[in-house]
Amino acid sequence: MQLSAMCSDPLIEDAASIFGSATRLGFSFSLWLVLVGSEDDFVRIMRSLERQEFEDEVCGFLQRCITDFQTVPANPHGDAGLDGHSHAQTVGYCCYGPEEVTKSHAGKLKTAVVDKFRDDLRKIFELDTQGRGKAAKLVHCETAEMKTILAPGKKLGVLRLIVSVFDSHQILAPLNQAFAEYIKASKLRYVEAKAKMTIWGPKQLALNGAVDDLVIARLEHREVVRRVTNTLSGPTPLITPTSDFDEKFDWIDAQKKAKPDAVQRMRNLFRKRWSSAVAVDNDLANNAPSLHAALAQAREEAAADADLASGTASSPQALLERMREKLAQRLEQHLGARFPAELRNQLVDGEIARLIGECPVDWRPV
Amino acid sequence: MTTSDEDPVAALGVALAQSNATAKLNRKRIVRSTLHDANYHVAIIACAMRIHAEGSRRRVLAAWLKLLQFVAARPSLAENLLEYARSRRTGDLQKWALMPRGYMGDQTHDGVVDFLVAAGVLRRDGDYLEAGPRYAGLEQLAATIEAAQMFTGEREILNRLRVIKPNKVMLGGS
Repeated sequence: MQLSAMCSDPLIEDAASIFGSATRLGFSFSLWLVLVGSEDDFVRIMRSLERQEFEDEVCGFLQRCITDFQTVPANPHGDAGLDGHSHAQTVGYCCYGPEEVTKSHAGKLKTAVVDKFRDDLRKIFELDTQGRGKAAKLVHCETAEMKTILAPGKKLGVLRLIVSVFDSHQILAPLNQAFAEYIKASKLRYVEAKAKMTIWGPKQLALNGAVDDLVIARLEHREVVRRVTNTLSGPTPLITPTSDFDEKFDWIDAQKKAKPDAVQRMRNLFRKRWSSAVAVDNDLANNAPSLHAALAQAREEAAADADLASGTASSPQALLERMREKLAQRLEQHLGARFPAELRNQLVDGEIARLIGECPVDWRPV
Repeated sequence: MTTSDEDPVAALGVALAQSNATAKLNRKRIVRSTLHDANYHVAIIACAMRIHAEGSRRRVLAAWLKLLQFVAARPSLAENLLEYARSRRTGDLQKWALMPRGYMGDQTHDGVVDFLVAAGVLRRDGDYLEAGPRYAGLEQLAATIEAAQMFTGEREILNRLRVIKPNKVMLGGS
């Protein structure tokens, strides 16, 4: 049954027009944002972030929740272990998102988290270790950056250590012990003598702030961009050679005008890019259907543009360049700022390879 | 500016020009994905309603219908969803990633459901969708599909998903 066959009365025609509008609007990013926010999603995505990405997201989240949250930029000469502060410079924040290889091993993870936060705390307390083993002692070591991070006379009364994976209590004892030792040994120029320390994971972060649809959508989008980037740059299973695809390059070879190794290089590169384009297409179809729809729409419109322009294209180079230009324009129009320019260019290259691979673009004589 | 040495598109243009070839673009060979085809969505919704809607009012959780049609059209996600549903009893954190959350952004489905509601085929009742006054058309479509043995892959997945007892928490709604 065709949908149009159901549109036989005015009421349904109106409905069809509503559907048309909805479909067109469906390509708008704002509607893609209509996701169901949940703390579970927040925790899941925050766990997956590493290093700077995790720090950026924690700081972004805290900025939304705490009016006077201040991110501490790392330039010049580092951030003194402090990634942000709030509550009139009395609460300090240190963040750590371990890399995947560390996260997958419980022992390594514990050591890495404890070492990283001890290091941050020593900088804040202006301490360094002298000697080794049992003879090791804590000595004062000025952290020059602290005096340009906190206003004169300001001291931190609370330190929050925020880690992306907080499943084990085994990090609590060593960090609390270190904190107590550092308070005793420090000149306390930037930390109160009665300062407190707590350790948070993404769950505690979510409970202390507002996880809404926008937060989740932003995190989900970051995840989509990262996945697309990985798909385009990582190893992708190559598409099985097809006779059509290979015959196109065999034909160029047979003309004996281009060097055989250059033709082979092109063949390999286009197959790789075609495979990546298909992988990205599948990934978007499964995980971000409205972006997938936008990509499909851009592809279709760019083909129409290039088809119209092909009448005036004086050479194969001109046609290919026109296609590239039109695809870039349409992708920018449909995906816009959602993907960085470099990623959009990679998508364009992938789509051209796909048009060659799937045969809409051909050069063999009929 | 890229050179043809590092840019295969430019290199291909040069090779084609040297070979006196004429490049052509055949638009007819660009096929739009069925994933954004309204007719296809109506057909899958008809099958999903036939298999999953319950009671004389043919009710189904709207979010569950959305997830069902999403997975039916993407067979590679079916096993993930089943595994996620099984693991929920144990609260296994690692299995969260298996939930096909992409379904929430499926605007084509939303558009098709809006159309079916406006046409009186379906009716909204809170979080549920149920048969509207013109539901018979959808039922007839599902019966025709079944008789003609169409969409067998999608219908097989919809049947496999009958083991899942959906609720709003599982679907990410609370």
